[in-house]
Order: sequence, then C-alpha cells, then structure tokens
Amino acid sequence: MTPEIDAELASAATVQIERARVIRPGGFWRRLLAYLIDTCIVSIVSIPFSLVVILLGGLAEESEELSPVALLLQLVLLLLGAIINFLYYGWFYKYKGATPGKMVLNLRVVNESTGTNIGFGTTFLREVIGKFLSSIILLLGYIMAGLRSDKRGLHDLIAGTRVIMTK
Amino acid sequence: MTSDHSHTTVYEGLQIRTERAPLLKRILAYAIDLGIIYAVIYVAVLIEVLIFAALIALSVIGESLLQLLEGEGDTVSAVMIILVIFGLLLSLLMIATLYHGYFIYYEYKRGITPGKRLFGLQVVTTSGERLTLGQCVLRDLFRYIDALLVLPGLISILANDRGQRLGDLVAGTLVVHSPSREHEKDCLYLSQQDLRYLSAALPPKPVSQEVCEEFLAFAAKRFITGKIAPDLERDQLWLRVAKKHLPPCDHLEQEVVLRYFAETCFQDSNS
Repeated sequence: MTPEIDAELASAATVQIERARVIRPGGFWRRLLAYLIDTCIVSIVSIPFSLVVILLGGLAEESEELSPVALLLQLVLLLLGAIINFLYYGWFYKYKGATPGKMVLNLRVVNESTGTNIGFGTTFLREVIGKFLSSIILLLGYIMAGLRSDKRGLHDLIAGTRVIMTK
Repeated sequence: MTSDHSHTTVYEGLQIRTERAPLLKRILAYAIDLGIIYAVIYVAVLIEVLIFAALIALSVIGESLLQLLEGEGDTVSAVMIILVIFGLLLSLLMIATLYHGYFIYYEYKRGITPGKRLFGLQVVTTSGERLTLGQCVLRDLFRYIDALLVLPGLISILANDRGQRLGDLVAGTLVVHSPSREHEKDCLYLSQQDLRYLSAALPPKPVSQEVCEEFLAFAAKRFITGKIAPDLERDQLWLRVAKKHLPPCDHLEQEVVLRYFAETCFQDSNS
C-alpha cells in the first residue's frame, strides 16, 4: 500500500468495519475442539523428546526392575511434557493471541480488563493453576464455561481472561 | 531472500508480494496440519469403534439367542472376526482418506491449509497460479517419498534455491510466504485491510504507555466484553483523547475512529 491513499479511501473502509465487527464470546464446543487440536499438536512436538528420554531410559535400565534411574527419567519425561505444553501455550498466547487450534477455529484469548494479549504469567495462572482447579472439581470448571453467558470457565475467572471470536 | 525469488500472488483481490517460505515455518505448519488431522481422525475412529462395539455386542446377543433356540453356535466367532477385520480396514481407509483428502482439498481450494494460513504460507505453481487437481494429487502422493528415512524432501528443500521438495519439483509447484498474510489475524478491533488503509491515510502520533493502557481498558469494555454500552458522553470523552493523537479525522464515523485508535494502541502494546 502506498502512503498517498486519500481520506476518501479510508472512509470507504468504514462500511466493512460496521458490518464485520461484533465481538462474541467463544462457545463451549468450539473451544473443546480447539483444545483437542492443540493437544494433538503438542503431542507431535513432544514425541521426539519423549523418544530420546525413553531410549536413554532403555540404555540405563539394563536388568533391574524399576531402577531409580528409570524412575527419574519418567519424572523428567513428565516434567518435559509439562514444560513444552506451557511454552507452547505461553508463546502463542503472548505473540499471536491464540494457539493454533484456537486460531483455526477463529478464537482468541484476551485479558478481561485490558483487552490485550496475555503474557507468560497469566498463561501460568490460566493453563496450569486454573485448569488444574477446573479439572479436580469434576470438570465443573470447564462445564460452567458452556453455561455462563460470557462463556468464561473457572480458569478464565482465575486468570482474568476471556475467549472471544475473531469472526 | 533476494528480490529474484519474490513473487506476486493474488489474494482476496489484492496483489501480495511473497518470498520463499522459511523452512521452519513450513515444518511448523505441517505439524499443525498433522495435529488437526490427528484430532479429526481421533474423533472419527472413536465414533467408528463405538459403532462396531455396538454391532459386535448385537451379533453376540443374536448368536446366543440362536444358540438357545437351535442348540448350535459355530458361526459366533466367524461373524465377530469378519466385523473386526472390516472395522480395522475401514479405519485404515478413513485415516488415509482424511490425511490425503485434507491436503488435496485445501491445496486445490486456494493452496492454503489451516496450518499454512497461520504462517502466511501458500502453495502456488511455479508461474504463481492456482494448482490443478492433478498437481495437488501428485504433490500429495509424493509425501511418502519425501518422508523416507533419510528425508529426501528435506535435502531437496535445502538444495533447491526455490525451496521445493521432490513433490513440488514433480508437480511444478512451490511454497511461498507472505509476511502481511502471516499477521492477518493479529488485529482485534479492525480488519487488517481496514487498518492498513487507515494507518496510511491517518498515521498516528506516538501514544504514551499510560494513555495506551487506559484507552485499551475502555476499548475492551466497550467493544469486547460489552460492559460499557454505547453511550454518547463516554464515547465523546475518549474520542477527544483519540483525536489528540490522530490527524484530523472528522469525516470518519466516531466508532471507526475509536476502533482505529484502539487498534493502534493494541498493536503497540503487543509488539
């Protein structure tokens, strides 16, 4: 685009704006689908890491059943998975506003009070602490997202976030 | 890349300049496409397993009823084995159809799979046009060869100066990257196209961090959460703030000015 676009062109753009932009909250099923996609993507990314850890475990194990080394490697594997998961969510929320699964389904996560993208701190509150709490109360934290009119789950309330539709 | 390798493609009526696709973005796009396909396959196979479990249960019940009536039951295992084999074949067929169908459908439609869309990538022919169905199929079938053990596809992409994998070479296609399309979804209050028009016509003055944050808090409540209903007085107040940072824009509607200013602050705060 050249910078010499006149104001008339700019006002022509307004017709589109009015029609296009009513921001609605993202619905329950759409978000569930996005979560499924994200889980699959993260598993693809973490499979190579897991393979390395498993191979190392196999080499270290030799004959003993449940050696401390194998246990330690299991722990490392779990931790690594959690870290990859967290970095995936954190990076995409901070720099793109949504994870790939959410982007594909036209969803976006914003800070409730400022409307900006959330950072790693808020992501930690939402994805780790919030989702843990949402899960241990028999998934009620997730189900409430489908029932509330603003579609915020317990993890959204804890982190002060909201999931919106971008289209 | 040098300008020798840049292309122009038509996208939603706009001429868009593109360049050779970075390898990392192609790999990430493929991982995301795979993730989506896995998710769909997961749901499809789950439904299939449920249906076949029901069928097998029915056949077991049917057979045991027959056994009760006639006192012979040789066919129980035969029916079940046929069902299981048929189910396995069906799920293999489903997986293959979904995997190939996904790529062929999206690449034939516009050359943009959902994963490619996120990174601003597009498959075009070497002359920059839309792919024919034959090219899509050929390109897709060559995935098997490109993904063989020593990754000939990867070597081909690195060795070729247009970044074509073997499937691309055979089908006469290439993957291009457009930075502006990669950031298509970064806008919240305006579409990217509108923002581009407006910021070319009305370049904003620098906004201080404080004003930016305060205005965004208003904009979020006004346009996203709906906690502030459209209300003349409040809009006017913020409109005055916005106009201080923008060139004269009285010909525009108030809401557009507010949204435009919000988008400028939003882009600032996210960069």
